[in-house]
Amino acid sequence: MKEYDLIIIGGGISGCAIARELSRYKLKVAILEKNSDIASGTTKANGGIIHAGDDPQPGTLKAKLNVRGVELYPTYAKELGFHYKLTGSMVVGFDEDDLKHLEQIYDNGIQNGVQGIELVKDSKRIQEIEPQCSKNAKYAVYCPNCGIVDPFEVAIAMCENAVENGVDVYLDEPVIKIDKENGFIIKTPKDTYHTTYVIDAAGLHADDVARLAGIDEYNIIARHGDLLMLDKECGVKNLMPLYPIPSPESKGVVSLSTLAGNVIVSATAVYREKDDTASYKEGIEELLRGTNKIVDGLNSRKVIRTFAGERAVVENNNNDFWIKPSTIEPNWFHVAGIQSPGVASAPALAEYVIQMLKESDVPLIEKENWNPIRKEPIDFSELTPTEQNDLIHQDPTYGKIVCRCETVTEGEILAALKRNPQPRTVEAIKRRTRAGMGRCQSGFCQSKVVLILARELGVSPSDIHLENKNSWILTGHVKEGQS
Amino acid sequence: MKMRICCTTCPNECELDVEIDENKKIIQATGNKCPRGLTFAEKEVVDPERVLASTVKVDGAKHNALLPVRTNEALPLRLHFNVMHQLETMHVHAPIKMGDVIIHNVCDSGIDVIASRNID
Amino acid sequence: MNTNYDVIVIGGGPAGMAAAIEASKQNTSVALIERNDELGGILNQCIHPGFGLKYFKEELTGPEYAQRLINELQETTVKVFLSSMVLSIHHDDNQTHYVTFINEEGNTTLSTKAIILAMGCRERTRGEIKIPGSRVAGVFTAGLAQRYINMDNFKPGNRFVILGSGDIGLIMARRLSLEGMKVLGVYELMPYANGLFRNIKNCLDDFNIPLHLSTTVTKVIGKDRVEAVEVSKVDENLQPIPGTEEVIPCDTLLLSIGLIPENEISSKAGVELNPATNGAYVNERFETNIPGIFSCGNVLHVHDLADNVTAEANITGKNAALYALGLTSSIRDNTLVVHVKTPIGYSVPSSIIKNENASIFFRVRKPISNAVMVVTSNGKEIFRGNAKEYKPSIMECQIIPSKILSEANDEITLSLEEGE
Repeated sequence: MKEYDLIIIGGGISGCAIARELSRYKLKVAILEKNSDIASGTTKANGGIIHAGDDPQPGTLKAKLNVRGVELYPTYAKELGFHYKLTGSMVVGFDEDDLKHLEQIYDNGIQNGVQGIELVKDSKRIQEIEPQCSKNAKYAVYCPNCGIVDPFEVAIAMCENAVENGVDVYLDEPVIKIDKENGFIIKTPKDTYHTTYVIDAAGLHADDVARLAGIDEYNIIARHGDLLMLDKECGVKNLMPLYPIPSPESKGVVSLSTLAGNVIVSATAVYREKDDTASYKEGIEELLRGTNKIVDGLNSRKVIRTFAGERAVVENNNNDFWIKPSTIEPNWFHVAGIQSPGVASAPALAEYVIQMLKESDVPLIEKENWNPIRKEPIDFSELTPTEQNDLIHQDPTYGKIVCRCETVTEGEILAALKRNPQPRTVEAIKRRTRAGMGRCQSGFCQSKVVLILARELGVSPSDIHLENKNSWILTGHVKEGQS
Repeated sequence: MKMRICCTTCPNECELDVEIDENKKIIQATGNKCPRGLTFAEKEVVDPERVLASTVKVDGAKHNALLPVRTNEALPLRLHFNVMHQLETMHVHAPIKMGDVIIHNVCDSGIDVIASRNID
Repeated sequence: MNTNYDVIVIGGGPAGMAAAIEASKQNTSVALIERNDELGGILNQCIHPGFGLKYFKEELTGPEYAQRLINELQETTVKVFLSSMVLSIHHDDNQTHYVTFINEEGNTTLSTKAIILAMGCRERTRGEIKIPGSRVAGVFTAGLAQRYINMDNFKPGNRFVILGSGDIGLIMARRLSLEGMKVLGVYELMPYANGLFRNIKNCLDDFNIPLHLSTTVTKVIGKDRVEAVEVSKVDENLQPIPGTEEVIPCDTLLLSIGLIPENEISSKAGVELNPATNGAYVNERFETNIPGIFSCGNVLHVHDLADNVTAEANITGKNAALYALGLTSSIRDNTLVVHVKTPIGYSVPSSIIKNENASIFFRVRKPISNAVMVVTSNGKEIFRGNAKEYKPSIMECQIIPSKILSEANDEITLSLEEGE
């Protein structure tokens, strides 16, 4: 049995952010993640927007954490070495009806404390702010402090920093049983853990996990969202996030350029079964209609990937986050219902959770040697030719291109394999290096990545998975001839 | 009996309509642009032949796990799986030159399986 | 190390090698840059026969076809850089081009008068045709599966459904069957097969693999790995017909849904691309809009046969060499723009010289059993061919004599008049 002071169940962006903040303190902490990699649930399938905070209803926890998250992101990005870009954003309207909604959003933003928010009633001004916005747009709410990230990069960076500061991460360990005995005894198929405190950040299944401990205080339903990724050459470049008028349930179909320069269209909102991350035809069609309405010059035939994610929604909770101690088990802390703006809120959410733990008398004593810095991994494609040359001379594996679409070298993959938690799947490598994320969608590099992974992990290529257990890629040799 | 046959001798891909008797002899053929079409059709109705291509395991090669191989001539289709079975478990050593015989007179057909490329 | 060459060829497949060989025959210094560890490009994994009938006048496999060119290349003075990836192309005011590439030795820049783009093409993916359903392991492009099976010695599945009746899909159906994997069927969106007829016959019929026309995959089903696919019949607008869904249990879906020229480096270098081909606009010398940059093979337009790639590359190689030697220039008067009318999808080249015989390559977008080529210039008919059959799987070549072109004004338009 492994002993911990505190166990975080779930290695999504919330769990990782909390782990990173907790690693400041003299506390034995572990993350239990059911998937083969962290950041591989809701965290991997969203728009990656650090929403300015004009959308959430004033007075909600969401509104508070979103706005505070926006403040914290620049420092976080610097300390943790992830990419963060301030882009600004606009919610766009086309007629007088829309204007009424925009005025409401503007008021929300003011109440929520969104810095620099501006109500635009002049289409020329809209074009000045974002020339690729539809020429039909007449009104807008402009928020200059909206930004973008790659959400999985943020979570991975947080987690790696947490690990460097002593947090343990266990992958492929779904929680199957929880006993209450002097704290909690948590069983996974592989191991047993004992802990005094639990933070339940298990995403879509946070309610199910809590019920394993006899805690039945809320119910989660899954809001499914389709997303589209377009080629870097799709007629639109450096597009700031453009939102339509939101519905009560969702921000609507948002279009934006990602850090890498693709356009992402995100997302539909339909309640479906938990764990349904399939793409739906009608969702894809809705996204295409949505983006074509709001963006000019986008060649929507240049889709390179369709995917989907699910957001955890706590029922009867006004679409708000559900972050609180259990009423029946005071050492069990819910971090549930982290739907949008979960990515934007993550740093503030961690800060809030620390405050909650302090208020619950969890002993948090700061370490003297806590290191807030996580060294940014080398991205070969971002280096100057001279830097590339020097790097190859130091380590020739940086001279071997594995992914030609995204210019990812073998050196970067080998470096990723030395990071902790160690990526062991094709998708985990993709999230850390971008190999396979380009327009050929790994048609050329998948076989190379599989062979490198197998070689470095000392297993057969048939044992390398795409994502989770059972997502096998290869099934034995074609020719069995023995030497 | 009437049959439609696609001659694969050259890129023209002539489609032949042929009529055969009970001994599988061609009584009538139309659609071929050259006499090779008829020769092809005669074989095709009796005992169709194709060049068979596959791979065998290769040891000691710098870049390659497999050596591509093929039959040096068209081999009766009925023998293809028999040859595949032989290729499945055999292995060869680098270096290899294109045209090297990998299996001589495979299945007593008078046809050889040869290497499709050089491997260092 | 020599860092200046008359001609630099990017890509060492059937186009690049043939272009380099021909360029070097003109007594030029030539460098060829190939990203893989060995020459041959995609031919190395195309281990099936069917290559070379036109060019070498005998039937070869892909690796043999490549080996012939490799052997020929070794007889020349062409400097070959293997395992080398071109990252960028730049130019200066003196019409000198600079090609920067990396390999395990570092970052190298070569200068040259002429560049031949011969990077080939890539496969269309699931994302491009937006197949709904779960995002599981077991969906492969046919070429990736081909690589696993023919080069890496791994089976990518046990029970396959193939979407798309293009040649690679058909060839893979045979390869899978021969190597002991099960192919349940080939599904084709269009009402006709996209591959060469010989491949339908030799790859499907020989193995009793059914071909389902006007049918497509409408959903991928599975939790972690493909467990089934849903297929549906489509109507005349290629839209799935509700109620015709059928679920086919399988563990692998192969996609053979088309190829796209790989022009990332070209477009970054300022080469203008034709949306109809995704390749460069070229003149009859296969020169792009940028003087001294040429393009040939599948990076220019997707060919039906490697033989046609090589033939085109030979011409391009020679033209690039003559340009590098200063024997021809990019600036020409008397050119004609080439237009096409549907069902012709595109033409290569997109401009020709008036007083030279022209060979115009094109493909039709749908099969036509009987049609006549009609060439007009500014509305006036100047040429009429003989009736023949046209298939989308075949790359056609229309030769127009200079005598006829002399009657043209500033453009010609190719169209097909459908007969009975």
